Amino acid sequence: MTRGSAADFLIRTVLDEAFRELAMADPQRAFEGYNLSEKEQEILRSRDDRLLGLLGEAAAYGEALVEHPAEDEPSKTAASSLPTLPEVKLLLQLVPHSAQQRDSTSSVAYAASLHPWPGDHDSKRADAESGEHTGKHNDPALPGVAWIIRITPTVLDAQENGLKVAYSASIHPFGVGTEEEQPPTQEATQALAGSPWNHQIESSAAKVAARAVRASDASRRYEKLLELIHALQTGDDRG
Amino acid sequence: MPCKRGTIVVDIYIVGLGVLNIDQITRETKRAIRRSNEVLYVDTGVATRTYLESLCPRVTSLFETSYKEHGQRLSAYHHMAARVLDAALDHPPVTFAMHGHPIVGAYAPFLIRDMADLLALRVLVLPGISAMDCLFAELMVDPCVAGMQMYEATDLLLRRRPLQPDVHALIWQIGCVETALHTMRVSKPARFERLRSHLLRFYPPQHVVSAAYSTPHPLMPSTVHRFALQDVCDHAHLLHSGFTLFIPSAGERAIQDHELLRQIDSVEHLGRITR
Repeated sequence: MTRGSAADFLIRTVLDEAFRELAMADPQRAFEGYNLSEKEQEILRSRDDRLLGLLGEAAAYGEALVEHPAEDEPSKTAASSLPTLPEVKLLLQLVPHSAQQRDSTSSVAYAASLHPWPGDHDSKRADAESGEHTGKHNDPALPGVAWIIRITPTVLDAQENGLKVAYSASIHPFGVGTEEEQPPTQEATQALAGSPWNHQIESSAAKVAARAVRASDASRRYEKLLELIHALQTGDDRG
Repeated sequence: MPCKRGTIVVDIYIVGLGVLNIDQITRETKRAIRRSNEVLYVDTGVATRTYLESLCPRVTSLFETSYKEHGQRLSAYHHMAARVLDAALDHPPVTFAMHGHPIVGAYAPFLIRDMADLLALRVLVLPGISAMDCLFAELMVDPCVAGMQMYEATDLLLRRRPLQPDVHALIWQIGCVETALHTMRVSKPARFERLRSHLLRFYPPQHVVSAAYSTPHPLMPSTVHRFALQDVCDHAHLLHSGFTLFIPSAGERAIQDHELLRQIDSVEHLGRITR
């Protein structure tokens, strides 16, 4: 197909409503300026099932015109003309400690600590590097919990005297520390049983694979994402 | 991590592009695409790319890289999910746009949701117009009248699901029946023999059904083939992957609860069941 072809004609009838009306009311006039064969004109006039064949050719033609970037081409940046600011991620950890009271009852206290996001380090290693609490201070019967805090800046306006920035923060659960030893909760098991796809989202394999995705650089991320899919579907590590 | 409407920060929008090329894209879907740094889409409409490029500077079709002749459809969904998550980790927010409704007959969005959850990415799903919505309009079917049971064609056969003949039935993806592999090849009559046998356990052979294909282009009317159930194999060559089978109810179920029938027009009863 060439420019001015049936593909161009069909695309225009989608995007240009006035032209669409013309194509239905007076197809012969609409054909003017287009390089259409007798057969194509006949199909476009009759507008029957054979149009599907032309649509298929047109779709293939449209994709062939696209210049696909090379696989290793770096990603393009944001659509907006405003500058973008990087997202900040922090790791919040809560470590419970059980204590025996004078009246023989026990109570639980929590130590909270905020850490830089481990990035491509293992989260446990980052925890040790921070010099804060470690497992040895923790009561093994009371597993610690962790969350990711994401702080996302949005540039609202850029002026000579600076940027006007709005921040939004969100908090998400993040499995670190003892999740390998933890069986799925009853609630999670029920959720899996009710899911049509039975993803092993609570499995340690899936969590490990997710951390590997986060830690990987852009060139290996796709491969790591496929490994995460495998872990989600089987609950097993690949290889 | 699923988000609700009104959420300020979203990493991945999962949207439906409707069935009729670009005319059925909703305003909220358009806004989501405008906010995105990349839109990755699976839709073979002739003008889809051109239109998306008017909303977003980076547009990537996943159809050609996902589906291969005789390839597993599941592998195609894996590829889509991995590509979308890859983009979302690199330059959020991104939009994953699918033909029709993004959650109907599509596995990739479920995979994306669960992967995003593990990766602490926020997902917002926006509905689209599905083939079912178009079929309701084209065949003038109200699912509230005789009810509606619906099954995916291959799943119907795998589980030998029973059908209630007094309730309308909608069988998705009859053109793809009996395979998990992708193909563009034309079906043979033998493809529909098992389906015909199963349906004839519940419906009379002469029961007239409709195979409907909602048009993807404004110049082309939708296609509806009507035939007796026993003749489904004779239409094999016409039933491509876009067709949905509608089986109208073959009879009416008698009312059982006559007390409720009396109450539904009663003001006193309404007073008893409302504040």
